[in-house]
Amino acid sequence: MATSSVFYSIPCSAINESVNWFNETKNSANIVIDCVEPDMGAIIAFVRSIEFNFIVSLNENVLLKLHEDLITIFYLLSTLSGNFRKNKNRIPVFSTTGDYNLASLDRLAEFFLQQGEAPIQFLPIDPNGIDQIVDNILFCNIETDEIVDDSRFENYVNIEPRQVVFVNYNSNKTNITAQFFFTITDLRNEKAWADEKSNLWKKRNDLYYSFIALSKEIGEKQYYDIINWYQQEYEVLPLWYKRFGHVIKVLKGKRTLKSLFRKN
Amino acid sequence: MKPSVVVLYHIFFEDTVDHIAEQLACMAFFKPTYLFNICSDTPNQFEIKKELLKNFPNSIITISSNQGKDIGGKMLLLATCIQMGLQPGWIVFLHDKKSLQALNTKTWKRELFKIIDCGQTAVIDAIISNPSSYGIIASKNYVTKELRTDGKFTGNNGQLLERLLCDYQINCKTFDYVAGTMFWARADAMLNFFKKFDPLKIRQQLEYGNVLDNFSGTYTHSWERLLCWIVLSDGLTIKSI
Repeated sequence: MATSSVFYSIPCSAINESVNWFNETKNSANIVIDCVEPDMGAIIAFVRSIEFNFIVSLNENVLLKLHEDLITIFYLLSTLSGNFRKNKNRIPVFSTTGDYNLASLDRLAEFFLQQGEAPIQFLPIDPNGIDQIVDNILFCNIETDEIVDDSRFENYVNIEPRQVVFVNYNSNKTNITAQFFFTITDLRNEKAWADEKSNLWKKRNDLYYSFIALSKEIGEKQYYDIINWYQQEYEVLPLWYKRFGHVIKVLKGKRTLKSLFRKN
Repeated sequence: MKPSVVVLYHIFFEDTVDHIAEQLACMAFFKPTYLFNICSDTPNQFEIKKELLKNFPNSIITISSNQGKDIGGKMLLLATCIQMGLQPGWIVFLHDKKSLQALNTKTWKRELFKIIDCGQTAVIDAIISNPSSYGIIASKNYVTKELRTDGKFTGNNGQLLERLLCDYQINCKTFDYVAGTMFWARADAMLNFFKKFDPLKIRQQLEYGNVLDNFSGTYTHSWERLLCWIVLSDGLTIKSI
């Protein structure tokens, strides 16, 4: 089953046609933008293969060389991501130096705002750190072939993270505690999204009410426009002229002769 | 050789996905590439995405803010097209129009969607498969003219339109457009323009939320006109069906 809360990091520079990633346990990606000219064709083919189940993050290297096309690509990838919004617009930024190039991050943030998006939040992460909890997201480092230790995840269950991002995880090994932990995290994440969805339904209700009110306003305006035009063009005419008009209507078959003699 | 087709479909309403497969059934004749954009205000956006992937497995699906309504959604999908390096022959612009505030909402929608109707497939195939001066194919009842008097636009969007035509160097002899922004367009005319003028930068100008131009001009409604005029300024014409 596709997860909504556990992601395995892969640098975009490593994504190419030969990447064969999808399996039952590893089917969701954290795509780390680590090159200034990402291959969109390869990235899109990859995210399609994992049913758009991914998030996007940044590597400090690209922040130094941030250009307009890269900002566009980053934004488009966020819109393609199945989890960008579920993740409350949070974007991990990996830096070994601690220098997060705030000017570049501000440019990115501003671009998202100008596209009408809610503010994004950048999360600073040291990719060499063992395990880090930042804003309810657990960032884990697990070495190749290391068997996931039961006790390690027992600790994390108590912290109740909303998401797990594996910074390095090349192993296909897992264990039942880890799977249980991932399932709990997924449920927690889905519950939070369900609350958000409920807010969206309330706003949608309000929108329909406003459409009804607007429809009435427009209908009224159109009604009065027609009435005013009628008053201006027809009612002002003298009675004898209107009566002559009625006779013409009878001659043209638009009205019966009998109707001329009705009181109304 | 048949030209390739890309469909750009913006979704706002929560129930569109219930009949979208049926609605697009006849488009299968053209073997199009589908790009969908779902508004992030739509509560069941992820369920919609899942259903779209089930019915259109090779499609590209974005979820984005309600910036510029369907025009903003189409701008985003145009940007996606360009970034993916797609080079179709024709682009089909669609969205799940309801216009709930209008009196003629059902008729408007039905007429606009004629362009993907099974009954029009052969007609449209003949147009796109043969060389011609047609750059837009649209439902005839909704091809309308933006009114001008003494060389100036007279509608609510007049001032904005004058400025945008100048800023984006669009010169066309006629000011016909498709009211409702659903039509087939020659892709080269469209993409050449948007490779020069970034669609996401244009999207920034558009109003946020469900804007209307019943009472005053808006960038969103101005771009509804300009999307057609971009094609007409290449010397192409509108074919009404």
